[in-house]
Amino acid sequence: MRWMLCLALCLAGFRIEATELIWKRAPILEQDLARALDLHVEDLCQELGRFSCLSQVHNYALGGHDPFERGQYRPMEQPSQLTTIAFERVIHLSCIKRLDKDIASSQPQVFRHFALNEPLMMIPDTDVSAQITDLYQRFLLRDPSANERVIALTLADRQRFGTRPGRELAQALCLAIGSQLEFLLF
Amino acid sequence: MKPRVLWSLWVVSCLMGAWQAAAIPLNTRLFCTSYSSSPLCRNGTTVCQTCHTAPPEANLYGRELAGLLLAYPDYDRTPASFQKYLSQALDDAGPLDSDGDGFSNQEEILAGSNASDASSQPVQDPEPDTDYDPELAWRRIHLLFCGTTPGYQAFKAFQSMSQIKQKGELHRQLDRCLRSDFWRYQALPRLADEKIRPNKAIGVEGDPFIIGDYNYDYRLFVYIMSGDRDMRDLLLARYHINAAGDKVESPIPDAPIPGRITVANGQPLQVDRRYGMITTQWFIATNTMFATLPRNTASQAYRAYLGLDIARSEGLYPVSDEPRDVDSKGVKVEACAVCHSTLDPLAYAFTPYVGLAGARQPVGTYAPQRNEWESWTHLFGEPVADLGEWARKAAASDAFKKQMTRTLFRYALGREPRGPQEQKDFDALWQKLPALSYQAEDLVHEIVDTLSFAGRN
Repeated sequence: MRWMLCLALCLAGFRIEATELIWKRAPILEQDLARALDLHVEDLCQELGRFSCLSQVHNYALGGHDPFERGQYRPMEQPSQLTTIAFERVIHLSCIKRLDKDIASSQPQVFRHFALNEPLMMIPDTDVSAQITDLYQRFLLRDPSANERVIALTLADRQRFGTRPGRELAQALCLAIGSQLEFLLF
Repeated sequence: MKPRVLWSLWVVSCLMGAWQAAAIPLNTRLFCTSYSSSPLCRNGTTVCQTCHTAPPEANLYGRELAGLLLAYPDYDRTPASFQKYLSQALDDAGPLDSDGDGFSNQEEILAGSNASDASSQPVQDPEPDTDYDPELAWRRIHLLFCGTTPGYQAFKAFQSMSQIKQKGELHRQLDRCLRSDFWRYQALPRLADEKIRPNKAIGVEGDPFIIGDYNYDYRLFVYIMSGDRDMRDLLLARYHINAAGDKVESPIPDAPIPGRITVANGQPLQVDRRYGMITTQWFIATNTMFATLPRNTASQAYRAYLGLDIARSEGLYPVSDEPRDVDSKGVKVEACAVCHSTLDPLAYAFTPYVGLAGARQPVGTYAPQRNEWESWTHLFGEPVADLGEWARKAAASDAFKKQMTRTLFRYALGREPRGPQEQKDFDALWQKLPALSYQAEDLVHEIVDTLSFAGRN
């Protein structure tokens, strides 16, 4: 259900109209994701807690290349099937990293519009909406459209997830908004 | 493996490749006689992939041509017969649509798209109402040259500016980005990877062997491509940039590293024989290796700085009485000679530069006793006296202007120029290089002003 909503959000939000889009390749994605989530580059997604997702493990799939150790002198021309999977994973794990920092901090930087440990049923729509706006501004440099806000708010399904902590909603919102193609193509 | 076995394998592979590729360069010239204005034709030849997947396998368009050729009753599959009917077959295949994408083969070839790939189609000219979008340019400039944007509030502030202020702000921001660590230490070095072709296992961190320090190459590339420097220095510079970032104009000796077999890790070449990136110690060591005639070195210089890949039948300018086969590699065989009559004359200029075989002299230095072939050197089919003249002629060529423009254009748009608008912008850009004093940063400013970079309907 949540994945379908994520997909709906992607489709609703994909509105770049330029005739030719540019792929935000690994080195730029790394910098821009760090900015969006207010993290240092080295604090972004890491596989096994050791290997950078962006500059090592998924580097090639995300449009980078490693000339020194792998003899890759040119990156891929176009995104492959692996690109979208790697992209979503990088966003997801980086969102979790930011969440962990915000939960541990008395002054959360990104997920600051509702209490992350409170059950969802205690969090009002206005706070969720503020978080949605904040994430759109951080990732996509714009406010959400009315339609996008409505779709994103359906992630806060209190009937089904009312007892779950707010951090799960925050994670879902971060993934759904951050993994839109609009963040990958520009 | 024993040298004799290796030699046999080399000859067999050369002959097999030759048989498969028989007369192909001539055929690509015939193709370009029929389609002289096609972007697929450069210097009057096209690449194998226009008609083949991997030669001799034909692609969809190639199969179409083959079918048309076979329809001639006296077509007997010989090169002579192929060349006799190719022009007519090209005409007949023009109106057909081999890949079924709705565009005829002729439309695709003239637009530079792939007639055998339905996903590759001619890009239409922008609608007459296509405008330059400063907001799209703002986003792209920040991401491509700074690595990120300053965020939502900065974007709102930009949006609130007048159009005139926006244009000035775009170029001010681009200047800031071009001085950023991201551009100078991350993005710009990656543009050199194909030209330098580093290898960590044998580079300055190699263990046990160190055959060169490619950090000199990266530093020189970044230095020349930034600030107000002239890109022709990529082929002409007589200096190096040391690890501290200082310009060094004297030879830098090798410095053995304890515990490693340090074959080379300096820049010991005498100053008056230096020609930028194509005479660094790494370039000579890794490309020449043990060769008597450094064909790899010449072909890599030709590919990296002039955009001409002989392996793809690009930039062939056969020289009469060549190849001489000075190192007895069997390249006089007719099918090898079609490329080697260009390649070997290109390579003679590199023979005095010592590769890994010259134990008596440091790698990358100039050995006057090895210059007996130097005067036979040709570039673009014309004689040049030595590598100095080779480099000066190359740096002044349109091929160099196009290649360096392509390097930056491809970075900015994420693709080769394609379609009429991009081709038009690309042509205007490389032709403007002399007026820009060959400065890479000025060229980037020109690129971001094009509709190819930030046009929106």
